[in-house]
Amino acid sequence: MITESSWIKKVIKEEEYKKYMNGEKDFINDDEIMQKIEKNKNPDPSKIRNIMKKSLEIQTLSPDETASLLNVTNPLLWEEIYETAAKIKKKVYDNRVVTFAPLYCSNYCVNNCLYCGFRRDNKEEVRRRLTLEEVKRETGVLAGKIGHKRLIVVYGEHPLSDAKYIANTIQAIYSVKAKTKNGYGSIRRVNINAAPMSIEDLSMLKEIGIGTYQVFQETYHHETYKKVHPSGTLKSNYQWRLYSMHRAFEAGVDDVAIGALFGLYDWKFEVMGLLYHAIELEKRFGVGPHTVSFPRLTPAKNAPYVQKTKYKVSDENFKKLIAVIRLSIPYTGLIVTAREPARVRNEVLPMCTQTDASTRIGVGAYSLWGKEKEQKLNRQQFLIGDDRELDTVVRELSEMGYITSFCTAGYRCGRTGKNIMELLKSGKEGSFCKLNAILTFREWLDDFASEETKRAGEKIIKREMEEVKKSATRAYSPQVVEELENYYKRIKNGERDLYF
Amino acid sequence: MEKEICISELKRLSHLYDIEITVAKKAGRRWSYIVNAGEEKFLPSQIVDQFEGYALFVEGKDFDNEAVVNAFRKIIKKINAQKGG
Repeated sequence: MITESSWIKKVIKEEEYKKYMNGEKDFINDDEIMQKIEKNKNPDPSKIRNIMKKSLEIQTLSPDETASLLNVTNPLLWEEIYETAAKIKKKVYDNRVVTFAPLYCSNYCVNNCLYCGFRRDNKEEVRRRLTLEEVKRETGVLAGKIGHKRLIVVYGEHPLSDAKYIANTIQAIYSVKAKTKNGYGSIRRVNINAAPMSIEDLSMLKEIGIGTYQVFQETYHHETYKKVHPSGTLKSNYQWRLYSMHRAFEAGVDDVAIGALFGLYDWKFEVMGLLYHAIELEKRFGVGPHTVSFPRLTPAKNAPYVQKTKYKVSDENFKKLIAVIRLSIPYTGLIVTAREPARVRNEVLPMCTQTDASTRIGVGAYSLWGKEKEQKLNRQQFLIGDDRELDTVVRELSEMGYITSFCTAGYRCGRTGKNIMELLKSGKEGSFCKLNAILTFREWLDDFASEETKRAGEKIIKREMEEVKKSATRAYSPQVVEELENYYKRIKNGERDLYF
Repeated sequence: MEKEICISELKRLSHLYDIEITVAKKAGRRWSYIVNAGEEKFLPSQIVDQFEGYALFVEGKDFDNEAVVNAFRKIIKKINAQKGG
């Protein structure tokens, strides 16, 4: 039987990341980032407006341009930036917000990160790894009672939740067909948030058919990274983590997601780090990140760094950093999660593309659906700030004028990697988004919505259908309109999972 | 290498029948993009053929199914021969 320490020794494969490095240097140059932030202080408003124009053309910004945005101080200019960020989101992804849920499968962890409730030294954490039957039970609730179609599945880094276990859980999730009001519900896209892996392990997960592979760098600042990830732990290797996505591309996984945990270090530095990461992936593989996440530090049990950090991000700066990421990497999806309170989420949603709802982050927590909603800090990684149910979120989004999308079409018809990047950059993907949002929202309203939500949602569907019919700018052909109406009728009559 | 082999033949077919063609490789439920050709139609992408782990997706109607499938299979054989060689 493999021991924890012998497993740890085998995980990191230096030859799989050192080949990308320039000697001892990786692509994050802390001094250069600091200099760029310093050099671009007091930017001229006309320069900022030119940068906004470039972003609106869906071009990735240069580090100097992003640094200029970060240095804007004029509140009126910030309003222009927010407005531009919302326009970009609409141009690339149309008027839709995709919803998903996290599913925590295991909270065993060999690491000891100072900000995390799963850390090895947190002896108060109740540790649990779901069996495959339990994974199916959780999925049954998510797909059958709540109506999710897309999950981000989360695992601690531990031999008990190695790549083989991850592969088995993904297969278990995909196998579930859960009874709904009008038939059966299932999870159609499984994204994973897991530890950095070897090319061999990633190849195995690719064969299973994962959606997006997500690894957050947590902080791009080398010194801070070292401080919050104690030496001797797997996670203390900055480069093994930084080059996770390089290995993913080598393994053929071409939808990758990056992120930073805001609050560990200066937020402006982290935004620059995310930009450098996106530029590196574009340069090496021709494909940037599918999504970017920007979680803020939230309270966690026995996580000393959370209380003592001086880099906590205010709500005002949170909105700014999202806007700057939106402008800097205009094609990418942006995920705002239930870590944030509803008020903050609603404020930043015009710039974002995805959000979660009916969120439970305790291992096994969905199986207690309808029985227990209270958060248990000794059973989860951190505290969430928004526990609204999906039905409520959908209704509120409808009232705000957004259509909720349950679309999972892209990766099932070859719109991945370079293909999806080209569609996003040309604004064409937004046209698919609109059509698939209408169809999947119709399904969800019929299968899961309360009467109140259904009424609010139908108004949005009607408006979106009219937009498709009279769309001059996006130029849907009459054939597309005809197909949409045909699919829509078929869904109303009980067929499911039709998509463009 | 796969892309270079495919692109010219795919372009010819997409132009000939006014369709959008995508070749993708199967990975579980995922179809990972390999190459495509033709103008985006925003129509449902239908799997016209599956062969040796690859799929031929077509957006559009009124095309010679047999001709497109034959060409697709030839392309896949070339890809596999090059891999083997």
